[in-house]
Amino acid sequence: MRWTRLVLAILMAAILQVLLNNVLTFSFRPDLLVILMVFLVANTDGNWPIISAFAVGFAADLVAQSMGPHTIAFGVVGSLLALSRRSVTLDNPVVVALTIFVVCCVAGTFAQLLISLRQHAVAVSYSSVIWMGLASAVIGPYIYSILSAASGFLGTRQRPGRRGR
Amino acid sequence: MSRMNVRLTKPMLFTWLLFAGFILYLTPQSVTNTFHFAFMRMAAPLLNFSRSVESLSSTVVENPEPEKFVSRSEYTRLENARENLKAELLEMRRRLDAVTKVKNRFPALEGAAFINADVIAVTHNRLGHRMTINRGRDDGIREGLYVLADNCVIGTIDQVSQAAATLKLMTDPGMKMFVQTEKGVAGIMNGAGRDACRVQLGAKVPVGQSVFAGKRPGVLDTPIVIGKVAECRSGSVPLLYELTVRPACDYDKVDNVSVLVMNPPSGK
Repeated sequence: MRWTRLVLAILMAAILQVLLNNVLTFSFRPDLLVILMVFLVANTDGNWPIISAFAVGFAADLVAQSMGPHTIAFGVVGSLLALSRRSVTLDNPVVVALTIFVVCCVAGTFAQLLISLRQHAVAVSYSSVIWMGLASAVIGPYIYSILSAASGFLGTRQRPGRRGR
Repeated sequence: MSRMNVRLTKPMLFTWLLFAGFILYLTPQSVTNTFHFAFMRMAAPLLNFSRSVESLSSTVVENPEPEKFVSRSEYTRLENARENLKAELLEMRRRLDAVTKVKNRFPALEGAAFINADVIAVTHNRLGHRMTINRGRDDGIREGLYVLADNCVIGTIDQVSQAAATLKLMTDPGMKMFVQTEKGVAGIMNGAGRDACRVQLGAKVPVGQSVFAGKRPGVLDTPIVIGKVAECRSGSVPLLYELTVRPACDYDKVDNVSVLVMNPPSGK
């Protein structure tokens, strides 16, 4: 895993997310950062899954203009996902979609609860979290496969079919 | 010099990063804004490019009779200007009808200063609706000031750094603003999503009537239009009507804004 490329990938995803938020007016829009986090957690070794989860959470905070909640939420959920890697392998697109949906819903709700604790004016909107989770689950497997193809650039683990480990 | 060989275990790393996250969470937003503004400045060229492409794609070029028709944005701008003049006139009449017979000049926006700023980005997400502009504390901008675009109020300054500021748009769920109608019925308006605001008033207001930002001495000395009533129905509270208000201009198409400073310091 390479530091610079990881930072570059996360920044690009964050900027794309801002663009998506501007272009798509409805709640049914994917959360690219969640998809990236699931990919990085599932395809890196050692301490990298935890570092990636927190780093992507920090980028989500930059996009959301509220520092801290997403770092904590993504970090905790990403680390839990890293722990469950031994029992769940993300090779099947359906499993990828389900994982992205669950991660998006859990991390989104957790982050919103943290934000509402700090800013009492912000109400927790579960419906928008679920819509975003559904959109991410629909588009997630495609982006996941694109990221898998770019695993050489990112320095992440490549699929066993391509390079035996 | 020999390098320290410390092995960082996963639980230790997780704990440290979580600790860092909580420090970030508990740090005042005025401090952590630095990160956000830095990110927005870095992403500004790309975001501006997408905004210009978006506006180009939505521009209608054909205008067969230019002397009879104006563009939609020009129409909105002029209509808002007319509504502001109407509100100013009503305010003048109210003052003239007051008990005092003394000629009291209407304190409109003559003594106010406008700080013009360009829009860096408009962000809509599940946490709110904000706009980042390229003017900050160094230019005299401070929290709470009203921001105008196309002759209407679009929000108030929320966070300020030295060279940039973020404003909370009228549609932001955390937005609360004192508003009044043409007939002087007043209430507190809340943002309610991407293109709507809600306000509960004690009187029925016809659809299409304008809603104005209410006077706040020292901050806003004259009512300025915010939007138009799109729906008026009986609210959950008896005797109160719930109004849905549509903003007077499209926030996504705003390229530059004016920050209103009612009492500018002398010399500026």
